[in-house]
Amino acid sequence: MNDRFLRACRREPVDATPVWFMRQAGRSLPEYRRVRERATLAQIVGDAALCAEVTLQPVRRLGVDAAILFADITTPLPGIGIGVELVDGVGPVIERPVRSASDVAELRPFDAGESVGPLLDAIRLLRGELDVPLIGFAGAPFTLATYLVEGRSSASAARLRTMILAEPETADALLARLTDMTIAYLRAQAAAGAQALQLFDSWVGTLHPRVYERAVAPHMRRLFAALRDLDVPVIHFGTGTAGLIPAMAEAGGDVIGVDWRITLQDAWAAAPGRAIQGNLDPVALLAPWPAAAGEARAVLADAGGRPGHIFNLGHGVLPETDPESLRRLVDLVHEATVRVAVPS
Amino acid sequence: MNGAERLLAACRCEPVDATPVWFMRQAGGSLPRYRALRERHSVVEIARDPELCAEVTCDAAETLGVDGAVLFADIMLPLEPMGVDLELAASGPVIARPIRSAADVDGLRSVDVESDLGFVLEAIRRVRARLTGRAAVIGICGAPFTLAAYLIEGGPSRDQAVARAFMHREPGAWHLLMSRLADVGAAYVRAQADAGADVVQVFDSWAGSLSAADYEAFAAPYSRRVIAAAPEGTPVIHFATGSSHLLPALAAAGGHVLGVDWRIALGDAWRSAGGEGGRAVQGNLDPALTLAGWERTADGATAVLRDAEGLPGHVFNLGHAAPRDADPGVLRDLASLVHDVSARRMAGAALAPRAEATARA
Repeated sequence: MNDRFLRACRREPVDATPVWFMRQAGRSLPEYRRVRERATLAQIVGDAALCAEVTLQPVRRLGVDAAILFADITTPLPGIGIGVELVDGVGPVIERPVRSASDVAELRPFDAGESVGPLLDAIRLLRGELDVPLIGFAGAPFTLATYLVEGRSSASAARLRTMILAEPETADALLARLTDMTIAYLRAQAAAGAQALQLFDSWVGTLHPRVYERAVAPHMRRLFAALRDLDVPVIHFGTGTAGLIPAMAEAGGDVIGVDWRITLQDAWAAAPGRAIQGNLDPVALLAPWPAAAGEARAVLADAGGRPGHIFNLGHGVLPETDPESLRRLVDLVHEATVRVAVPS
Repeated sequence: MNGAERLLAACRCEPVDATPVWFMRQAGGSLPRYRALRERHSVVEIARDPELCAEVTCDAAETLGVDGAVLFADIMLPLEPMGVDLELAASGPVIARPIRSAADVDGLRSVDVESDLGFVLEAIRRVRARLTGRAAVIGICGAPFTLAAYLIEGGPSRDQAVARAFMHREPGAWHLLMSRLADVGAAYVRAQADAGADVVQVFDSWAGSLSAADYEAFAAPYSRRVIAAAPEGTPVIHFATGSSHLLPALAAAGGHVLGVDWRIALGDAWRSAGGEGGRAVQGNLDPALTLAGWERTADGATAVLRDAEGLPGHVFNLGHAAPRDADPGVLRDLASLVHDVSARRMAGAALAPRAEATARA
């Protein structure tokens, strides 16, 4: 079992810096595109064998140090009564956006076994197949709420931010319901065998730190506290978070995931004592390899060999990325950071 | 002090009798005069007609009681004479044929601001003549990075991945494009100032998607050229969003005033930018608060004024453009609140006790 990823999460010594990629399973891989010719995203997530297969594809091809369960952050939402359509080129579209207190009151309690059974089966299948750790994940309540309130992806999350300011009780109730759901969802993934968990708060960077602290952090604290007894490392990821890292780290997370906008040095200064994950700009992999490699080495230099660096992109792999570049990047990270093997 | 004096003094970190205020995209939106004109004219027709443009610009400044009259114009206007096929849709600009290669960059025409964008300059002259100092005339110019991002993406985008990929993949074509945009921007800023703009705001709305290192390498030299083109005596407001990580680099690229969005406290922004005595800040009420009910709007504005206390210069604004459906009455009351609260403070009176709601806002 290759455990350098889990060791790095705990800031223990590693033989080389671990590397995996957000959205490593997906459109950049030809074998994934072939699966997609015969199955929709929802069908893949609803079929344990197919989901496991798609999760394994990047592990085989790229040699990454962790697998991440193939799913969408909106996958659990039908379990609380939210209809979601995944539209190519648009992303998730919510059938009936949540805009009022009564909309929130109508949300159902979440039952993981009932709602995402095949996904949990996929985790069990994967644990028998994988020789690297399996990461489960969920969207963080704020980011999920942006989809629910806006109806789809939104750059500024203006509707949700307006709701937080104008109808704080409604927003708070919505975030509380999503927190309940996320706790149950992640606990079920860990119980099925996920060895680490990542919370994607992708759009949290739209908030002023004061608003985050007041409206979002209490839910995040409760969420992390409810995962603590699982004894699996949790990665707390967001984008555009330069001003938010201290508050996010305070809310929780063994590992803080950052995007490409900031330096890892600054991230460590803002979250001392945590592992840091990141942060090659995904667009760097669309440049010719020497330029991409230069950027990757700059990320490693920025990490400076600190214990607890997990190499990743600053956000998901872009669909047009050449998988060969991803494979070379994995090799580069390992070769550039190889250390004398530690006694196990 | 009249509005123009107040705004210019704050930009220069000189004493003011009250905090000056204006709003990005204040002209247009839900203003009745503008709504009436829009029944007969498209956005582009209004922007291209000096008389209509001046009318919409002045009407907004006078109706809202603000200290700056920002020109009713789009930052994309200078791209049309470069040969870019551009449509100004409600969701943002749409470029029919985005730039995807060095050849596309080569195909861009050079711009003669006087003949190609003379309608903007004429509108500035008319606004200035009509307002006679009641509000400062604010010219606008897109920063090269933000314009390039639109040109390459073809429209608005979340984190400008296509444009940033182009930047890394084809650095030669990128630098050529940025240089062309900087040439146009520099000439445009200069011409607006010469036509009578008191202040120019350079919008680098999307710069926040860049790391500081990439900003320095791929964007800053061109922004610097555009900002430096403003004549002595015409302050430049350098605005970006999502820029918490970029403030020292943005400040180094220039501008008398650093414009920031709602994500950061003004004092933190000013200190992060280097905390120089000669630099003012602009911002930064969350535009969402203008839709959240007056109590929240007022509490938010008071909190912004409090954040700005002790800074050498502060221009009150929203953190980004006013929402198109913002109630003009709310914006007018907001401008008046900023004047009243700041004037009282400057007169030595203590700020009203912080309302319970402020702590929540």
